[in-house]
Amino acid sequence: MSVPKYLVAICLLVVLLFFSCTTSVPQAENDSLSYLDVSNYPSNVYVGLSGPYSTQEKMVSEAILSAARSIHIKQALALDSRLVTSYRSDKGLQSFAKDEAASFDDTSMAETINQLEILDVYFDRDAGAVVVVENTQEDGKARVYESKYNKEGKPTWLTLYPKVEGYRFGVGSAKRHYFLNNSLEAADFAAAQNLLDLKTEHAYSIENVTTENELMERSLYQAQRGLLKGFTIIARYYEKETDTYWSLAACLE
Amino acid sequence: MKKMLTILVLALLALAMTGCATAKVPEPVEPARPVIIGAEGIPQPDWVYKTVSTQDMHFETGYGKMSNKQNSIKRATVEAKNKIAAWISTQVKEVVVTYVNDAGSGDDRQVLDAMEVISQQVAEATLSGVSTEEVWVDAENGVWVLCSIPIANIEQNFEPASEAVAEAFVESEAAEAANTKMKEAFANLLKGAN
Repeated sequence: MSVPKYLVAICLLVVLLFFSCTTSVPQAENDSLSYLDVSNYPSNVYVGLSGPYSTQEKMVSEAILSAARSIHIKQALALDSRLVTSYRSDKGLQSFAKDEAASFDDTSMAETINQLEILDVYFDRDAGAVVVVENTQEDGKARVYESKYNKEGKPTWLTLYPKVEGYRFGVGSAKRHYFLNNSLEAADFAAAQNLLDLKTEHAYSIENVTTENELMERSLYQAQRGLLKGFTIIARYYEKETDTYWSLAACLE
Repeated sequence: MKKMLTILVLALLALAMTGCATAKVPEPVEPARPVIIGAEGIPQPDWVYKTVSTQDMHFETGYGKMSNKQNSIKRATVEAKNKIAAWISTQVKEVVVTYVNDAGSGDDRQVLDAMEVISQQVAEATLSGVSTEEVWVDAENGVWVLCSIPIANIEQNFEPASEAVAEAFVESEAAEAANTKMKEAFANLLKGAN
């Protein structure tokens, strides 16, 4: 019994089609994150998300606010971090407590929003509204860095900081919060604090060591603060195995 | 007979030459250090076990191993910054001791107090512009960092403190002299420390 040649050709085509599907570029596990990827746009394009609200109108206005916040944060982000840690020679590390804060100037937010041009609006179950906007008051330049992926499909910046002249990079992570926007904000905040840890403008460090009856106790207090210029979230990644969101942030050197 | 003598002389000459060549003392061979590979496939850098030193920068390393990489980096940088603070405090205490010994003025409490104030102020204000130059993760996921601070930043921070003290003790010639001497000693120590 002979198989017709055209049938063999069709089968081959189907097999090829399946293979081409499996070798596609690795995407974020979470579809919602793909809406937030603006790496193909110039640097004056921002994205904002709202999280779920009861109406689409409310979601879009919240997403626009979120995008405008990114613009203000890029201008200047003030960071503050305090840490207390104590150690006992018989019990090891006793505490490692930190109190971190970030603030930015939002006084001219309305003015910024008026200058925005909306390029795209998406709706997503987790992200709520996702708004892509262009800041018409800023020149569009090429993005600082584009994610590269390893064999497992994970971004290389999870393990190694990218190196680009004139920029510093920080990586932050956060476990999943109830709302996606909160998870992302927590990861972004951790990335900003990571930048502060790696380059500190001002720090105060005080250490006390007491020794009594061959027992050593050490307590350390450290406060640090800094002002980041050009702070931008370059890329995000969702790690399914650990249910963790990751953010890669950059700021000017 | 003459032929035999020639052969004997040549043989002796050859032996003498060989003797010279083998007299050379063998060079000591450095024991090969095993290459330690970190969690991210990167070999352990030299700065993890060797002190890094330059004329214009002070370097310290820090180590941290916490529940996640971010906190490990935080702890490692905190430890490195604390080492920098400790290094600066030690330098300042040394200035105080050096000055008191040099001037032979152990009873001059005004000068001694002035020095103590300076040492506190410097320890509080010196950590400006600390940068993390390198990060390395070992096989157990412990994070090592190499932090640096420009020496110029430490000197700058020291200036306002010394001036404030000079103003506070303006009526005392000893305080002024102490201030000048302390500045010199501090600058020398910073140069000598690197």
